[in-house]
Amino acid sequence: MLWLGTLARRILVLVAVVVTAATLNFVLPKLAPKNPVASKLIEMSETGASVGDIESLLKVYEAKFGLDRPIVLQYFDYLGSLFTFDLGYSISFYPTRVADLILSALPWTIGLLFTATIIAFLLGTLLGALVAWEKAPKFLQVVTPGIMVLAALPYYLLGLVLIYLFAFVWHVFPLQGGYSILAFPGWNWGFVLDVLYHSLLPALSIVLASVGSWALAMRGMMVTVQGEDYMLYSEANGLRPRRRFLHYGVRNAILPQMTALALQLGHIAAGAVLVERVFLYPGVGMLLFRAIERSDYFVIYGVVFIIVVMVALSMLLVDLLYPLLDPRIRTGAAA
Amino acid sequence: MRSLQPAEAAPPKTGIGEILARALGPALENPRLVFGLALLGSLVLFGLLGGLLYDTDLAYPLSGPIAKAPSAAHPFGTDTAGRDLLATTILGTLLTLKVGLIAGFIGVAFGATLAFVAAFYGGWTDRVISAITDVLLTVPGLLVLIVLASSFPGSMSTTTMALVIASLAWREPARQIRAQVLVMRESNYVLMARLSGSSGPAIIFTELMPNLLPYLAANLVHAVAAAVLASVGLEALGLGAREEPTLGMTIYWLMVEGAFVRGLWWWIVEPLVALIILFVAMYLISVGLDEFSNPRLRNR
Amino acid sequence: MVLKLGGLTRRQFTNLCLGTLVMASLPLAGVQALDSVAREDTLVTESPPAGTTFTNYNTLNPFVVGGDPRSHLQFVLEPLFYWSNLSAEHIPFLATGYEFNDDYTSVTVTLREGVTWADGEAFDADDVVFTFEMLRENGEGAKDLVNAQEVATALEKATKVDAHTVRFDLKHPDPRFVLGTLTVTFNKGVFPVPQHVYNSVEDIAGFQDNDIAAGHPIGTGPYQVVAAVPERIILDRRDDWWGATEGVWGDQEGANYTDLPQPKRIITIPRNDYQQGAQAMLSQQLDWMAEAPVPIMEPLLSQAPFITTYSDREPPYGNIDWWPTSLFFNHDSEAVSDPEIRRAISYAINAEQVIEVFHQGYAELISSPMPDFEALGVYNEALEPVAKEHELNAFDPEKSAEIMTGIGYEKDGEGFWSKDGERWTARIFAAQPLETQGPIIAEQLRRAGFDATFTRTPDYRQIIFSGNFDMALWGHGGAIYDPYETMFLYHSDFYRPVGEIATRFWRWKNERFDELTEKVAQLPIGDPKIEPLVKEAFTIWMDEVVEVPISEWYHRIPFSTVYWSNWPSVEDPYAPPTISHWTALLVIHGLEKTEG
Repeated sequence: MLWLGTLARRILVLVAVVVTAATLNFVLPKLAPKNPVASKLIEMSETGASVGDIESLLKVYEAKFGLDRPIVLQYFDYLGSLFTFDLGYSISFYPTRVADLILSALPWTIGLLFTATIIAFLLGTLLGALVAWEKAPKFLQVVTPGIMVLAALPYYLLGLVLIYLFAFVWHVFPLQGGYSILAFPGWNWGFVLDVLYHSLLPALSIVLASVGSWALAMRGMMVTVQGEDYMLYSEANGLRPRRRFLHYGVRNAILPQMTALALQLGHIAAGAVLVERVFLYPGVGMLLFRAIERSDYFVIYGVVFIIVVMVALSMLLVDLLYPLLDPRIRTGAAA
Repeated sequence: MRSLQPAEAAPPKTGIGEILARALGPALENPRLVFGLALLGSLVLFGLLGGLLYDTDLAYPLSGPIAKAPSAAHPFGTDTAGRDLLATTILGTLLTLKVGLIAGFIGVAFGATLAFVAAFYGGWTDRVISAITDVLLTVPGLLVLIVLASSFPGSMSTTTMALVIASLAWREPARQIRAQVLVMRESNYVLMARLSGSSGPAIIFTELMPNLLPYLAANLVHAVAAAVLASVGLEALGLGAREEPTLGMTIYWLMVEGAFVRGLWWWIVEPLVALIILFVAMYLISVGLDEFSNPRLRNR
Repeated sequence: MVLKLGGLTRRQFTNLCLGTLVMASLPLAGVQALDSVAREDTLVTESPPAGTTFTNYNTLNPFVVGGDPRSHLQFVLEPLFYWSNLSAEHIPFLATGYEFNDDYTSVTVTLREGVTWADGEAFDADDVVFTFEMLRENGEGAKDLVNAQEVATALEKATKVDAHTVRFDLKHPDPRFVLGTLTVTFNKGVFPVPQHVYNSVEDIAGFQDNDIAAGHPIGTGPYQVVAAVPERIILDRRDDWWGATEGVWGDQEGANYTDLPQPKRIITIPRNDYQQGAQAMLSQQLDWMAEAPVPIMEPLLSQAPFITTYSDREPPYGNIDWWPTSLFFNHDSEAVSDPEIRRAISYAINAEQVIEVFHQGYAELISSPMPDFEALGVYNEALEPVAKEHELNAFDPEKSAEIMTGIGYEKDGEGFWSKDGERWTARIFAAQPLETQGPIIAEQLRRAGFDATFTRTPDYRQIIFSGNFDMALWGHGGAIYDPYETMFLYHSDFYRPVGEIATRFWRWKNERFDELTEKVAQLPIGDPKIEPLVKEAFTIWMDEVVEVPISEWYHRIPFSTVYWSNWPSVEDPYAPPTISHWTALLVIHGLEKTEG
């Protein structure tokens, strides 16, 4: 029962978060003195397509997108459409629907960032744990500070360095893009390998740039755990070091790491913008960036909404799972 | 997660100078902190001395020949618009630090104020402030910044850029400082002050502030580093002060102008090296400060 | 409890993995397996709209606001006529000829016999009448289709005379109707669409025509879209294309477009930044890059002996485009409303330096807004003495200063022109391709004492078109076969007050210029009476310093000769080599597979 109460409260918070974020998301792009429909029409007239008198065409399309109505009405319509998951039409891709755009971009982002984040998490956690363990191989003590310093760099900077070295100086990896020009999406090994090949540099930049922070956090936790009573007891009881390390040390230290991972995974799509821009990767980040450039309200609304829901859901998940995983917190929650 | 011991142990009525001295002593024994400070110091020195000794007006277009490799006349070479890259790097370093400092200071000042108010008055005040902070913390910061920065009509100055970043930089300090103040509020010396009839603001400024200073400093370093990170990220996307040669803007221009395919290595290497030094320095300083506040992390 | 942790996370992990796989398979669900086509039979091109993805991949209807034909439809649809600009050739395609009546109020077009749509239906007068009537009605009513207003302004009614004859009755005498509306050149003109597909569609502005599996969009052209995803559009050759049938071409038989084109597959990728395109050219993955400015072109040529251009491997590495660039003024902006100030600015600008820095010297100064095209030669020559006298592209800071002091300005403490204690300031914006000229121009003006700042912002289009600027770097895109289109750019019909969107964002009006433009509009192309009218009009234009003309614009396009040869060249300019104009099919008809 108590747990249900917590659940209800958490869900309320989730709704509050989503509505706040959605409102910000609605208001901020509107602050700009831009008219995305006009931009689109001007862009077309620039390519030569005859659109005649833009002013009259503008009115027609503003009405089509509902942008001619009072802002309050637009806001309620917007909230309504978000909660029914009807994301409407894109302005710059008109008449393509926002949902189609997101669905075609999302797998790229999830595929790249999910995999890279998991790899970085595993490597970093292991490294952090080992460094804090007195029995760890000595070379780790030498290598680790270097890896941790990499954590200082934002991944897009590392990305630029990697592009420069691997694509320009040594010509080992492709420069940019999600797959090679002659490949075409399909379920075959050739294509899968091609995608993997193209994702290596961006993935490497993410892994290199984040492995250090996972290691650092894990090391901190291990150090804290090693000071706990049960570790001291286990040592006094004469348990073998490996067993103490894995069963008492890592097991207990990894919990906050898991929490951080869940939150990180929620933020995946949001963090993708820069890395996708540097590598021109066809994911959600790039879609969002172009949409912001063009003030394509409906694409911005759709993408940000999905990101916010992902973040909020991952937090909810963490909040709900945490007491189940950690008995200390469960008793704490009852208090 | 942080150790809460030092605050509890602090005795009442200690001069700020004495606290600083006590804080700096062990701090200087921390090699990471010292190395980080040295790196940052040399970068600042490079910027300041460069600003004095070198003509930074050359950081603007048409100051030199187009896209030439380093030479005696232009030691760092020039870019495709004829900017002298030594001047660009000097000014860029200073401007980037400026954005980080302004945004970091405002963020910590505003965050700390909210935190004090929330923690000290408690009740509804606390609940409202904490709820707002928590909700805003879940909003992806970079996204909001991109939307904000791209909504700016026309061009931006580095100061506006700093203000935009500061608009979100207060969230993390607000949450962390509030937690710290909550612990301190229950400490003996604050209780003593209350019993002796001091008012809320008086307690905040005479009792809490001095003891929180090292903690605020650590928060400030984090906030400045985060602000630099955000500003360089936004600029690399072409959002920000386009007329000013910040390091992030240099990255943007070299991506737009195809420096890679044109083989203009000097244009790529210089801002990258400056940024790498800057980020590593701030990382070392903040790790050093963390170790300092959590002594168990030391010597590992 | 702690022991359970491992199991739970593993399950959590597996679920997330499965979820990702399902997500990843979604966009592929609609993609069918494609037959493989050998690389040497494939032409790989790069095309706008720019970005990592095509904004129009899902929109295969040419009249929809989001339906840009450049990346795919220009290979699927064919026009009644093409104008091949570099050879100044008018090519009848789905039509065979036309005849105007005496006062140019009606034109009768004969259609080619034996043309079929991809689904086997015959192409005939019904399709043409349907297309133009649809546009006219839309332009008079809903106004939400591309080209509709333009057609509605010119066309009274299109009528079927017989299966292969259509009569267009015009609202006003319009000797340029065939070249301007029925002919495709640059990004202009109307492609006929199949009546049997479109007549059952209720909302054409929302019709995407993207049922690729069912063979849509249906065109008459030799290619068919077989796959379209945001990052790629793939078209395969239709070997049953009507043009390959004996006897359909009449006396055009023998031209290179009368056979099946050689590439069996066309892959278009979105035009992104130059870096990506250049890299793909070097790695022989890309055959036809969209464009490469000199600083990109030179390293490309030096690294790859197989890359060539319209002017071979020599400067200027391309051909003149219809987009000569100027520094435009906003005539409604107070800062530049005085022609004397505009003249002073023109003397302060060193266009040669701009060309040196931006084009590395490989472009010519211009003195009028008309490109140096074959068909415009006579008029450009006639304007030369006028231009010489007006010195619009001369750089002379002293004369600039003289003019400024003459109208009461003096330099303030910082060396900037001021009047009555108030400093003159102006904001410059630029079209994206000219973005890097912005800082140069601003710097030149500042050195001459004009406090001008250049601003680069993603919403520059809207700022410029709604009139919130003082000066802008932009190009023209007017005259092609006749000066009229350029004169039309300055007609006051397109004037809109600041705040409203105006395609003619310079907001310049001149009654006499309007009269001259209207007179030219009545005269057929090539009429000797045009020349003096043009001369008078552009003398006004230069007197008023409407703009500061800067340079010709070149399309510098790298071609790869690894798989394909016979690209258009100075020796054989059979088609405009630009992928981003709607005439790229003519180039593809001319390509030859390389030996070995």
